[in-house]
Amino acid sequence: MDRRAFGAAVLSGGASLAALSQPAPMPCGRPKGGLGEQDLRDYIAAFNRSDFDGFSKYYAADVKFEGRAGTFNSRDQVVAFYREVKSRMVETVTIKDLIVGENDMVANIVTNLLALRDWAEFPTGPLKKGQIIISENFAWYEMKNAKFVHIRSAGYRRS
Amino acid sequence: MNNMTGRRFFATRLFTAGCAAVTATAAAPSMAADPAAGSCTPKPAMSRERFLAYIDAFNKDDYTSFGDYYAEDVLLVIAGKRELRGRQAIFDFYKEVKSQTQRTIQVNKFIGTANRIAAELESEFLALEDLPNFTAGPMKKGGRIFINTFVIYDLVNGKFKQIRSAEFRKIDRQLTAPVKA
Repeated sequence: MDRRAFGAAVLSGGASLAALSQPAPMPCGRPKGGLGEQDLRDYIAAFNRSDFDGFSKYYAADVKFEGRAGTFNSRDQVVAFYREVKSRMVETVTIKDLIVGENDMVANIVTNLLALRDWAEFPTGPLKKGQIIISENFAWYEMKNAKFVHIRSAGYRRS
Repeated sequence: MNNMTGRRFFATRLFTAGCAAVTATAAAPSMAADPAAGSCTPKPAMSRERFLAYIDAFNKDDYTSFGDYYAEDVLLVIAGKRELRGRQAIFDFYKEVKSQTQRTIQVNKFIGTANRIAAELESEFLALEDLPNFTAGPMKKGGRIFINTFVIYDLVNGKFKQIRSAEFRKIDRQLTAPVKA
């Protein structure tokens, strides 16, 4: 419940003036950017099950996405890229660490790629069918109005 | 962001950004209300100001001051490969880097939580001599490399226990003309 909703609930509940004169207990609200830890976990879960509507709803229409495999400047571009990726491989992301701020969050994520077929032109290097690539990346998410507006990924390690 | 105007902008963004951030991580302690802040976010393990003081000490080669931020058994992992354990190992590494380059770090972004912080750092390396085997790549005297890294710091008792750094971007601005000695 956000602060406005909380205040509305108090008022609609007919609270006494005396009660209103006391500082209301502050609920644990969402970060200013509108997304919290559970949102990121839900986003990743949707991504892992290839729920394109489910994960892309977290993107602003003009999201800037700077991933290891390319840079994109809109939600549509990101989704198109991942439709291609997921038609050629199984990509599973696991969150190891998560640091949530008011307008930013940083996740240490492990990405597991399993190539379903050869992909010579894969942006980070040619892939052979059956090949598995595991990488650990630090992803920095900037958020506004409960959407990701900028996502950047930094490579930490790869095996 | 690759010019001084841009760099100043980045620094300004840091100082003018809203109140730092601080919600729970997977291993977060219980949430305690902070009436002063008007929220129930936990107190960060390190404030933005204290972290900036650390970077300032680093930039000034003040080893005593910035070394005080490290736990005795601190572990620094650079790009998931190079591991340096203990203050002295870190000092030795930086002393070598700083003997070859003038390194200046600025903080572009900062998030503080109860037991961990994250920062985006932009490091400028100015080569003081030709460095064909420099750790960040070959450099010519007078050349500059700018590296943006995302760094995660795990803290125990207010000190850095583990530091992990991942490279986001490297911009190489080597000189094409020779530098006069």
